[in-house]
Amino acid sequence: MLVMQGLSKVFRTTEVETTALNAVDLGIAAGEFTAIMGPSGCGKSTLLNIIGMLDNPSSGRYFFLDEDVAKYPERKLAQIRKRNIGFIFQSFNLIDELTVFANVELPLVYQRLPAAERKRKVDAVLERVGIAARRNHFPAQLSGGQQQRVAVARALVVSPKLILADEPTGNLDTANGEEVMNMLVKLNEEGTTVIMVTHSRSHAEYARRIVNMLDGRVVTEHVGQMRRAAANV
Amino acid sequence: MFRSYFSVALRQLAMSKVYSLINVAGLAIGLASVVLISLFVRHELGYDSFWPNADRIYRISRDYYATNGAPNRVPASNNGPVAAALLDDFPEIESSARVYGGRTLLSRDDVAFYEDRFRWADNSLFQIFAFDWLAGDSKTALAEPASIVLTETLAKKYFPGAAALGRPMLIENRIAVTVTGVIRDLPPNTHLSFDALGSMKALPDSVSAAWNGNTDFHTYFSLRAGANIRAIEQRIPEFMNKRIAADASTWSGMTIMNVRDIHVRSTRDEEWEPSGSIARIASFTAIAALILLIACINFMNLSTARSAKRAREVGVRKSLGAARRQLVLQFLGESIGMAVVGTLVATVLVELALPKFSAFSGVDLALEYFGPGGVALQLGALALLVGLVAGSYPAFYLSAFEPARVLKGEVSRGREGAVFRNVLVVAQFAIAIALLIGTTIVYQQDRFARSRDLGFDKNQIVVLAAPPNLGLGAVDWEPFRDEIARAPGVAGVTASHYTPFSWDDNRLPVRRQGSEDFSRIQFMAVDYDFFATYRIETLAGHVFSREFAPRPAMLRVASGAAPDVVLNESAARMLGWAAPEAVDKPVEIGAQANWSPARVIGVVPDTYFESVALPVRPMIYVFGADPASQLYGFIRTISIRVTGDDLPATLARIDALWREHVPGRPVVRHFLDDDFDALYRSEQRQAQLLTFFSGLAIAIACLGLLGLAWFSTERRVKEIGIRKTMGGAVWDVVLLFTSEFSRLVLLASLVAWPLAYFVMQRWLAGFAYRIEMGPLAFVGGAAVALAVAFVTVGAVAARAAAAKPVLSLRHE
Repeated sequence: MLVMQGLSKVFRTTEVETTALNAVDLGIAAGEFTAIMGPSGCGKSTLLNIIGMLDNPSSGRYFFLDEDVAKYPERKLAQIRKRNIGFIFQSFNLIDELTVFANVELPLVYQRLPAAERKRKVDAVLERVGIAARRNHFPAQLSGGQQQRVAVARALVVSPKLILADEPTGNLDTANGEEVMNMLVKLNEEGTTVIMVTHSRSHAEYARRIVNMLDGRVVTEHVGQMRRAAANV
Repeated sequence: MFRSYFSVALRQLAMSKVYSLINVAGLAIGLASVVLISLFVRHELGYDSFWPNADRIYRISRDYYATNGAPNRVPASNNGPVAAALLDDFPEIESSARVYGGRTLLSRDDVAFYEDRFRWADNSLFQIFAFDWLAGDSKTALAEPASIVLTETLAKKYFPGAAALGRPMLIENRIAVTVTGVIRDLPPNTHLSFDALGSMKALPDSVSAAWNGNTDFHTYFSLRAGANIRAIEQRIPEFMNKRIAADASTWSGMTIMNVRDIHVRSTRDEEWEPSGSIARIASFTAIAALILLIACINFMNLSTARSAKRAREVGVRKSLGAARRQLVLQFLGESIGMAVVGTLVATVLVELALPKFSAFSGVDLALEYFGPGGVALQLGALALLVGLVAGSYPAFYLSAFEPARVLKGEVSRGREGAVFRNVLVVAQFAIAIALLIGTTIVYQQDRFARSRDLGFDKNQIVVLAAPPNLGLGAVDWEPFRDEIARAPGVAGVTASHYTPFSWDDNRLPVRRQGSEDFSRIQFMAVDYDFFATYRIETLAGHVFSREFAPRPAMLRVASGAAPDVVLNESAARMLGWAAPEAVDKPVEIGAQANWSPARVIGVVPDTYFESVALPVRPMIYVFGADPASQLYGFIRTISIRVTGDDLPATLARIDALWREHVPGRPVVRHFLDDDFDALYRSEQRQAQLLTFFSGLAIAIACLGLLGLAWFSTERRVKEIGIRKTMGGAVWDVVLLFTSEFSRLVLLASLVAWPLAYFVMQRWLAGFAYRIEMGPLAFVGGAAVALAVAFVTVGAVAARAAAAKPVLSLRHE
C-alpha cells in the first residue's frame, strides 16, 4: 500500500538542524496492522505525519498507492488524504465548538456529500462505536474515553483505506485504552490498514508487525501476535 | 515596580510585532486624519481673529425683506452714505469705512493688468484694520483722491526691483494716482480681499449718494472700547427710519456681524470670497471624531483579543499580590505608551501629507509645534486622551481576571469578551459603511447637478470681458460684433450684462400693470442673439431680434414708449401667467420709487444660471445693447459661440479683433464651462475629501479586522489543523472565517443604512434640485465594506490555512 525509500526529514531553525528521520526504508502492505515504537524523539510521530501526508519529507521517495507523493503540494495531498486516510490522535483533536455529531460529520462535509447521506453515515458510525446517545453533546461534556471514541468514529466515517493512530491510548486509562485497541483490531480484521504509533509495549502487541525506531532510523522489526490472539478470544 | 511594567510593556511591543504594528498603524492613521482635519477647522474658525481689536470690528450690511412672495435680498454690502452717518449718529462708534470695487485696469507706463482684487476704500479703513505697513503712512495714505495703496505682491508686479512709494500709476487709463503706501500681503485667513486700494475720494459723490437701491459698499466700523454692540443694534431701526424713510425699518433692516464671524457664518450674497461653512466644519469635525473612534475601537478590540496571552501574566502578578488598581495602571500605561508612539508616527504622516492637503484644500496649513499656536501640547493631550479612552476597557477587563481560573488555563482562549468585540466591530463598520454611503450620495448629487439640463448650451462659449465701468461703450460694439460674427469658427456672438454662473444679484420690483403687489425679479440686459447664442428656445411670442426692432429699456432720454421685455417661465408664473398668456401683457418695473411701464414680447424656458443648490430664478430680460440706453455701459460681457473647428485660429482672430477695436485694454477671455466647473468646485472638493477620509475609515476598520482575524486564526490554529486533516481545503477554512466576520459586516450595514439615510436626507434637503436616494449607494456601500472585509479576513485565514496541518497540530 505504501513504500518509503530513503525517506528523511530535517527540521531547521536558525540555530539548530535536527534530523528527525534518517533514510527510512519501509513498506506497508494493504491489510497490515503495524505498530511503530520507540523512545520520545525517535521520529515516530514525524514518520506518521509524513505517512498521513500532514507533512512533506525533506528527501526520499514516498509511494502511496503507487503514487509518489513526496513532493506533492498541500492542495493535492489534501485531496488524497481526505479520500483515503482516517486519523486518530492522542489528544483526540476534536473541535470544541462542534457537537459530537458535527465533529464526526466534518470529513464528510469536506467530501461534499449530501446532508442526508452524511446523516446516515454518521448515525451508523456513532452506533458502531457506541456513542450514539451522546450525539448532541460537546467534547468538553465527554470523558476521555468517550472523546476518543468520537475521534475513532470520525476516522471511520469516511471508510478509509488507512487509519493512522498517533498514541491513541496515551491519554486514556487502562479500560478505555483496551477498548480503543479492540476497536482498531476489529477494523483491521474488516480490512482496513492500521498504522499506530505507541509508547505502550502491551498495546503494540495488538499489532501484527512492530517497527522499532531509534534516532530517526528503523532498527528492528518483529511480529506481535500475542495480544491479538487474546483479543480474538 | 515601574521598571518591571515598563520593560514588560516594551517587550510586549517587541514580541507581538503584528499586534503592535496594526495598533500603532491604526492609531497613527486615525490621529493623522484628526490632526489634518483640526488644522483645517482651526484655520477656518480662526478667520480674522488676528486683528488686535477683532472683538470690536464689525461689518454692517443691508437687508431687504421678502415682499409678495419674492425672496429677500441680503447682500454683504450696504449703501454708500451709511458709514458716515453711523459715525454721526452713534457716539460709541470710533471709526467707520467703506470698501467697494472689483476688476479694474491698473497701469504703470506700458505695463497694464486687470486687477480683480482692486477696491476703493476710505482712509479710515486703516484705523479699523491694522495692516502691516512696509512703506507710507496709514494716517494719510488714502486721504487724497490721487492715491493708491498696494500690497507687497502688487508693488513687485508693477515695480519689480524698485521702491513703489511715490511712483505714478493710472486707474482705468484715466485716473492718475501716486503710490502712497505698500502693505504686507493680507494673511490667508481674512475675509478681506484686495491687492490694491484706491482712494474713495477719487469717485464722484453720485456713486455713493444713494440711501437705497444699489448696495455696493462693504461697510465696517470699530467700536470704542467698552461700548456695547447690542445697544447699537437696538437703535438701528430708529437710525434707518430717520435717515432713509419713515417706514424704512418695516421693509428693510441692517445686520451687524463681528469680523471674526464673517467667514464661517455669513450666508450673505456678494461676499468677496466664497464663505466657509459652519456645516462643513461641523461635518468634518464629526468625521474626524468618527475616524478617531474607529481607531480607538481597534485598539480596544486588539487588546482584549490578545488578553489570552496576557491572562497568565495577570494571574501570576495577582497571585504575587498585585492589586487590581496597579494592574489597571499598568495596562493604561501601556496603552498610553502605544498612543504616544502612534502620535509620533501620526506627526510624521501629517508632515508628509500637509503639502498635498494644503494644495488640495486651497488653504495654506502648517503644523507648528511650539510657540503661539503650537500644537505640541495639544498633541500630547490627544495621545493621553486616546491612550486613556482606548486603554480603559482592556485595562479593566484584563485586570479583572481571577488568578485561580487564569492559572488553571480556563481563560486562555481569548474567547471572553467576544460579544463586546463583535459589538465594537459592528460599530466601526457601521461608521465606515455610513461614510461610504454618504460619499456615494455626495458624488451622485454632484453628477446629477452637473448633468442636469440647464435649459441652454454652456459648452463652446468664449466669454470676453468688456471694461467693467464702461461696458459696450468702450469696445466699439457694433462693428466689433459684426467682425467677430464673420470670423472663422464663430457660430454666434452676443453681449449681456453678466453671464451665467457669474452671478450678479440684480433684482428689480416687477408687477402687473395696475397691481399693488410686486415681485423682485432678476433682471438681465442683453443684446440681439442672446437667446440664439445660448441656444435658449422661445416658448411664446418672440425674443429680441432685428426683425422686430425691440424697444430698449432705460433710455437716457425718455421716449414715452414702453420697453420690450422677455420673461422666463418662472417670472411669468410669478406674475400669474402661463407662458402664452404673458405675451403682449403690460407690466411695470420699479426703480427708485417710480414705476415705469414695459411690455412682455415673449417667454423663454427657465434656465439654470446658478448652482442647482438654488431654485431657478425668475428672470426678466431687457434689451440694453443700444447706445441710447443707460444700460449700454453696464453690458460688459461678450459671449461668442465657437464651432471648435481650429479653435486656436478662432481665438487668435478674436484676440486680434479685440486689440484692433479696444486698444489699450488687455484681452480678458475664458470659457464659460470654467465658470460652471468653479460653481461645483467646492462640492467636488468636499466629495473628494469625504472619499479620502471615508477610505481611511474603511482602511483603519480593516486594519482592526485584520488584527482580529489574525488573533482568531491564532487562537483556532488547532481547529484549522483538524479541519485540514479531515480533508478541509484552504478555501473551506477561508469560508469558515470570512462567513463569521461577514455576518458582523452585514449587521453593521443594517445599522449604517438608517443612519446614512437620515443624515443624507438632511444634506440633500439643502439642494433645490436633488437626487432621490436609491438603493445603489446603500447596497454599494455595504458591498464594498463586505468585499474589503472578506479580502482582509480571507487573506489572513488563507495564510493560516496554507500552513501544513502538522504545524498547527503540533501547537497543542
